[in-house]
Amino acid sequence: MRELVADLSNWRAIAVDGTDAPTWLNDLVSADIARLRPGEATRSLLLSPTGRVRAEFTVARTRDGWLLLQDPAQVNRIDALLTPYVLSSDVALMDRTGQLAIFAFPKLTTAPEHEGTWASALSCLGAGIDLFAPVNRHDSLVAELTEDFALADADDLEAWRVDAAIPRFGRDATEDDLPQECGLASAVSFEKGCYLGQEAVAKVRNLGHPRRVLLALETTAPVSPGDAVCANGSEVGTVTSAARGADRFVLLAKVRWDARDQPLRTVTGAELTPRWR
Amino acid sequence: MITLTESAAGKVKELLQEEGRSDIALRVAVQPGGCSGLRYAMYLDDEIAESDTAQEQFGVRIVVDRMSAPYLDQAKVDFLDTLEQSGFTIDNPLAQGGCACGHSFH
Repeated sequence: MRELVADLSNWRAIAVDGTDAPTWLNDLVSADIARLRPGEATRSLLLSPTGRVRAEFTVARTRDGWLLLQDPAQVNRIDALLTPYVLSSDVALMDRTGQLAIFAFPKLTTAPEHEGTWASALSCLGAGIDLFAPVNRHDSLVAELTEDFALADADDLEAWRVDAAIPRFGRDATEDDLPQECGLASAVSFEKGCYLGQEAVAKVRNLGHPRRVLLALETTAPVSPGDAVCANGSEVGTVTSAARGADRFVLLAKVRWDARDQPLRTVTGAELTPRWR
Repeated sequence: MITLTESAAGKVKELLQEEGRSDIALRVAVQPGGCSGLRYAMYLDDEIAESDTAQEQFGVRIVVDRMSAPYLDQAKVDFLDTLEQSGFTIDNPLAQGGCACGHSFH
């Protein structure tokens, strides 16, 4: 079976330019971008002052600067959210959406070599590696890549994502969530110092626990996003994403903190088993 | 427009005397950063841009850049010298909140 390649050329691509760009970005976003070298990327969040998730995106360090990659399914554009913070900084946000061919290989760690391309890892899908090229290479790259890879459609990507337990803002995470409540704590640096929303997320980490957590579960019965999750006959959470696996159904569910270790079931009584601890 | 208390102006004049300069201004700015996203910057500056707003209060020239001006429209710069606290403070009614350490606002 051929590995998947996803065409993400419709994703938002925002270049961040200017002498203040690295420090300006690092002062605002949740991930530690100062450690990135050219060709490296990290998943990041923009948080509200109270620590709630406002946007999820990938920060990629390129040879020339910085690129923010965001799923266009998110309502709020990352460049629009960041613009009010430019003030007098030497920073320019430039929309490069549609100017790049972007392909993601969710299961690869090394990108295939093709003329005129460059790679960046971690992929903006949350795992794997991305391949970039000027948009005029898009069609020829599709032809070249599909000789060795299967071009993923939206259903393929969703099945892979849920199986890999990678949360997605807008599905598993909402603007009401702290990163720790929706499985996005890995997009947060707890070491780099102050940034927008840091105080609230650090408080949860240092002084207590989140109100809810995102769990990766599996079951033998069909489940759908929005289905209730129950413990001891009471509703304790909700399925946020679900997909059909090879021999079972895999899902992500947001569950109350105090119920996270209890035996969980669907409303129809099907057992929900943790996929890993 | 941002205002300066007499106490703050007195402290600025002291600093100007220490610098041996009377031609420099107190610049107040808003910059990105901190847990709440925005923080204040305050320093003596001899470079005044055409787009800056400038005015003299209690004998001190205070300047604000074009981008920071909307955030500082009603702000008041004071200087406290008490047992509990010593230093410049900025009271900004336009700020909706701030972080616990008080270094940033939104």
